[in-house]
Amino acid sequence: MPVASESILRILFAVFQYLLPFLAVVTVILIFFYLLSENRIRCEKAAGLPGFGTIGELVVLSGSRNLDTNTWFPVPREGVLGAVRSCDLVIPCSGVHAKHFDFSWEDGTGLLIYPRTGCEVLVNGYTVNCRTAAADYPMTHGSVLQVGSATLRLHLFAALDNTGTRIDGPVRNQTAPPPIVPPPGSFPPDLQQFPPLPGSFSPDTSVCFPQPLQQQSVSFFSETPELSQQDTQSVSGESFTSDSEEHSRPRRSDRWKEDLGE
Amino acid sequence: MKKHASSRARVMAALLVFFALAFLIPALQTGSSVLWSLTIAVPAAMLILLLFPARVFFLDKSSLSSALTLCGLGIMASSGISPDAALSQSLRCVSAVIFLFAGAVMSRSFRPSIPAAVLVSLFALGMIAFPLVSGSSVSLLDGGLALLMFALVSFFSLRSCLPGLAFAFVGLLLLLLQQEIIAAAVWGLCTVLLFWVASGRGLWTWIAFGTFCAVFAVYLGIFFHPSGIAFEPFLPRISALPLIVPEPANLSEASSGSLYLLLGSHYGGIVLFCVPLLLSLILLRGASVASHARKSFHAALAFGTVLLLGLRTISVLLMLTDLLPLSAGCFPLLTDYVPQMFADFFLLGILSGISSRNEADLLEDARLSMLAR
Repeated sequence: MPVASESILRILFAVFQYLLPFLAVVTVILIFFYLLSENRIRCEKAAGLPGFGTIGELVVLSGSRNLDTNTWFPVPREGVLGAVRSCDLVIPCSGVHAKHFDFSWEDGTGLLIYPRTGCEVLVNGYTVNCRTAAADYPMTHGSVLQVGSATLRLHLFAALDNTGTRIDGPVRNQTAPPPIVPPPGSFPPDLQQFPPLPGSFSPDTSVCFPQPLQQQSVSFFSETPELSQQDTQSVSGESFTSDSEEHSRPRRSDRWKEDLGE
Repeated sequence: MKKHASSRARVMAALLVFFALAFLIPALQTGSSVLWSLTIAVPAAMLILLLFPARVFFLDKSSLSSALTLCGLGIMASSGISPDAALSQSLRCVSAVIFLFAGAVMSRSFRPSIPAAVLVSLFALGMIAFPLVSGSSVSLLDGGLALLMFALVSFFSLRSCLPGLAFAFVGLLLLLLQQEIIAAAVWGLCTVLLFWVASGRGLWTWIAFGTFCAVFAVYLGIFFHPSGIAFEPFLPRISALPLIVPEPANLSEASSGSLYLLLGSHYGGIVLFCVPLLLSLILLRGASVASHARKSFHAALAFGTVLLLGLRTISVLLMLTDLLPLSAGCFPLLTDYVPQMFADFFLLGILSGISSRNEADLLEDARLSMLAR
């Protein structure tokens, strides 16, 4: 390959001497703005999706002075429930440890509960602790969770039914554990005011496992007696509660909004 | 979206122009056919990688752009040694891309389980112990640490912290046995921070940190002999580099040294400053990917990758500025040591895989909300 003459090289280098470092800096700045642009697009996409990253909500059936009845929490796919504010779900009730249990959603099974050492919960009347296999007692739509003095019910997004992964039953083992009648007083008396959901746990029955979800009618949330059809929100990216129906909708508990005093 | 597409186009155009010009100067000066080929091949390879495999495999384009820029800078620095050195460096970079895809596939599709985590841990410990066992000078340290981090995160996500910490401790001891102090420090800090992120147990994290400090103190007090280490100060050499290279003759002189110093001596201090900036962009992107990950396994894996790359970058910066009296290693992705380059691309692939997983989760949520209408 021919070598360029000295004079041409000097002229070229005089240009490149300043151009190359300038281009290097410009390239780094452009990559930085590209990174910012990617982040912004992701945030815009997430803002347009209601319930982004969540699988449903936990509705308080009975709480405490710090936790009103009918308060509801969006449930992420994975997280920690406890009494401290750093938890994903904050339940400020007596008997709830600082970090009471971990939970994670498993497609085809349900919401699995992993209590921490020394912690116990009741899922549909069954005691679940750190030695219990989480897959044996998954939470599905309508399942009732008792943690400390609080009782909560799980509402799953109905669209989870349509993913093709059916939740057939909570027990993976072929031999289901013998039905355990919950001890008297394990459920607060006012639980009786909430009609059981189809297939969900009823204190009067010894069969404690909810029916498959395909038997329930679907809306954004599967229908519950206390949430009528007109209360279900439209999937439009709006906030969970509309102003006109706020008095009939459960109050959403969002610890960030509580912190801001909204 | 148009703004985003034009932003991507601007980045690609800047990369192509920069590297085309960067190889044009030595090609004109020496007339080497290899350098003329690299003038076309390097920008073309970047364009092809950013356009086709990145789209097909849903790789993270922003971190990939930064990584390819660093690779290109490495090839540029090697061209200052000789055209053949530049060709070898470019071939190393091309072969390292395979590990990028391997990391992406592994992070995206791996389901953590105890047997898999144990197997990966044993393989990783074998890689770390390879020089001790075989007596070879080839060090597979960085690859071993990357895989061990992968296994550690798997253990933590399955709530099996003790086995994970046990394997991490064995890895730490193996590193100290080989007198890899910086790697051991990086690994120890990475383990402690990952444990804290995964478990959230403050007290146990402090206990783990105390144990790590105690082991280090015992090692430095009993086994470490600083008189045996030849220390060459780097700061005077770096501060002597001009911001802009005044003489073109430097480019044709054969020189040696780390790629980073070669880059500075041939292209000036401004280009040198771009290296830590590019690495910080990769780390920022990694932190963003970790914060958006839906599963704790992916979040911890991305965080662990950022820690490994970030702590190594900080250690190299400390050594280059003589704050650590040890011989400086190489920046991530700006190295001519093949096992280290493969490990760096594997870590980058992990970030890309998790980023693509995040995008898939976003699409799934969009589909679910459409189904609910």
